[in-house]
Amino acid sequence: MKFFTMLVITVAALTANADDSSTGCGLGWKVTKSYTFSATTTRGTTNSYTTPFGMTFGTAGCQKHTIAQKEVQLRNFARISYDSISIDASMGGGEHLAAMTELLGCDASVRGHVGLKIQSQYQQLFPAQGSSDKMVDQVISIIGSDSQLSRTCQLDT
Amino acid sequence: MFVLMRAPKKWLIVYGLLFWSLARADVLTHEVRLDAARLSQQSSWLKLMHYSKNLLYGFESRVDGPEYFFARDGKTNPQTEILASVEAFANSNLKIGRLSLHPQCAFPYRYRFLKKKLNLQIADIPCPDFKRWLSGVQPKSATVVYASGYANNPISVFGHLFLRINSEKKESEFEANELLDQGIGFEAVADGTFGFRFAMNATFGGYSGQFSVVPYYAKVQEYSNLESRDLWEYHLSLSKTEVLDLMTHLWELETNTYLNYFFADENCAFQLMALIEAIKPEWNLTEGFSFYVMPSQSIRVLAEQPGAVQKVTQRLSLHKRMTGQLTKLDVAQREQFNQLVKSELDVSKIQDKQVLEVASLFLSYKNHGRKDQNDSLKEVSVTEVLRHRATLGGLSTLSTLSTDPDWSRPDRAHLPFRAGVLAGVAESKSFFDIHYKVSLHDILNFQAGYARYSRFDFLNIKARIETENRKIFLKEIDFLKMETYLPISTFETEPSWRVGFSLATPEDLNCYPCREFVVEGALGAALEPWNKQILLYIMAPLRAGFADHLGSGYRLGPAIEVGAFFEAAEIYRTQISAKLQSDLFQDIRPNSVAIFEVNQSYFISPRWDARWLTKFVVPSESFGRRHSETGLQLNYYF
Repeated sequence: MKFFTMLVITVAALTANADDSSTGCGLGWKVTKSYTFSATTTRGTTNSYTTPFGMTFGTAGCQKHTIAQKEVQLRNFARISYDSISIDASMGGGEHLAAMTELLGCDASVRGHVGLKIQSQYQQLFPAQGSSDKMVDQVISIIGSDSQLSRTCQLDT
Repeated sequence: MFVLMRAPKKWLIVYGLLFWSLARADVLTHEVRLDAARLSQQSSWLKLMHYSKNLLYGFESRVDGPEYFFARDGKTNPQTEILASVEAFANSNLKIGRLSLHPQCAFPYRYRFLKKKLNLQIADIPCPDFKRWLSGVQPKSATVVYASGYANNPISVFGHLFLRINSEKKESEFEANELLDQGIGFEAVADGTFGFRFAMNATFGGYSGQFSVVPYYAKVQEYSNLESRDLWEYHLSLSKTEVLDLMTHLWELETNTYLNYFFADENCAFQLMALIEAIKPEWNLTEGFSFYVMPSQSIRVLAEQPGAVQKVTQRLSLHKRMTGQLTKLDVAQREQFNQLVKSELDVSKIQDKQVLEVASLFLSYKNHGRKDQNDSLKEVSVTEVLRHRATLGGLSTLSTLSTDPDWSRPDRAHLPFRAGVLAGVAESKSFFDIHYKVSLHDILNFQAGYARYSRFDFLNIKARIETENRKIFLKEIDFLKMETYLPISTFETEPSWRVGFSLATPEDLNCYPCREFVVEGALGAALEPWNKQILLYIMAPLRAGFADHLGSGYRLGPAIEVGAFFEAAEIYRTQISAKLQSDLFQDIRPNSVAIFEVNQSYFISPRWDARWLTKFVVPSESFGRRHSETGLQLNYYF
């Protein structure tokens, strides 16, 4: 069944690619024209973290739209690793926070800065009943409102 | 292709002739046929096609989907499969597989392999779909990851194996975010039903297997954090090109065919090894196994291949990280930590970052262990601790922990099957015991690759030969014995436990040697009061025995047992135990029997160990049977 699902998704992705190369990268996902941070914050995703074989390494359209792929990756990563990210964030750094920053497209040189920035806003980012998607949205807007980070962090690189 | 597969042989010839004319030139020249005959016996081709030698009828491929073969008898005939593959590659009109691709694109690795080996004069056909897919892989290297067993669940001793494709994009060692790499596993596509049908399918191949791709971070959460299992990473010496070859071969398997899943042998470990071997035929990763293949055994075979493993690293489980950091706290910090996790001290009063950080690891570990979060209300919540820690600012104060010593690596584990001989003296008479065990690990075994003080034994058959009266009898069959001792501490209070089903020859019965079917379960506690070398335990077993000669047909009674393990060195373990077993609701036997044991085990190699076993059985009343025996045992693992 899983394989059938994979096949359907793969074929759908291939067809989508032939039809319109600006869609793809999985179900429930549409890439908007704008690649800015503010635009990406409004999107959610229904993708599961278990990526079908054909999709994972970027079949069909996804290659051209790393922005979409990266944000799906970012949100999946944040959902699965939420607990570990929240621990790292309280200490302003760590392996999971570094991975998240990498998925945010931040250059290695500013990752320490991002870590401390996230730590300083910890109370808002990680409330008692927090969700990974809300956290990601807020992190994206924090980066977007920081003049240095908004230049060096790009989801579409 | 599909027509070709199902067509009878005479039609095969007709289609073959048709293909030749379409291909414009006969690719199957005399030289090609000669080379093909030679190649068909070589391990590179046999491994690429997943052929294994079957004693009854020669070669048979483990690939189960007929779409993998161009020749009608391709699953069992390596030679005709070469010829049929070559014909298919030369035929410009074929479309095959789930993605309806030309054979060259459906089987790009096989095409390249045959073209080179047979010096084929075939024009390449462009494969845009495959090229695009492969361009997304961007690998640097590959790592085989072994998830070790964990103490709470002895069944997990079987471990799990998956492959990690390391991405090239890593910028530096610190940023080497392997969390974002892709893990590739081979799993049974089960339909969620567990029970008889599940077991049947798993055993006889009713399930097909699937290679799944899951990000490494998801594996880290699952194994390292949720289940507290160590992840051992074996970094392969495969080049970037070879990893691309591996992915290309994976494409061939996944877009065209399937492999059935057998839990015992053609499982996650075996198929991943076969996948690696297909593109690296000089490594022998699938041979030399008995009728089942354990992930830890595959890891051993891999590590034994000269030059295959560059280095081995370990990702510590959450439990090990937590306990490791806890030992780094000094007395005053420890006191604060105790008060914090017991909610005796308000979190906001603590200014020591290290205490807060260790507490957050501890509380996450405890949260993972239970589903019901409500009972944590009494305790300080991890969110509270983290939020307070964040207000203090600054980077982590946690120390870098050292990983486990090399001797404890899973590839150093002893082998699963065991046969042993014991020469001993019982009641002044000499005897020999011979035994054979299907699996796996007992409490006296060398612990490398297994959880500490855990046991999972399945089907152990023992016979006794009494030399003086030349008597041979069945001494024991252990159907299943599981046991685990978990040292309790101020913060961890997991019970130790034991279950067992066996056919035994109890030494305390006057009808000795008569048999009794025994079911025993026990709960208890273990403690490491001084150091890791000594573990003390107390258990409360409940034992039920069933046999016709037991009067009412059964006997039942609780027991109390105390014992200790000493580990003078990791290769030398001693267990001393004293057990008082009651026998209730009867008056034909003593009310209780005391059993004392002293057992020692010396690890020689993953294939050999030696033991000295001693046992005294003392009944509470004089009409009961006394027994004492001692013996030296030599065990061979295979």
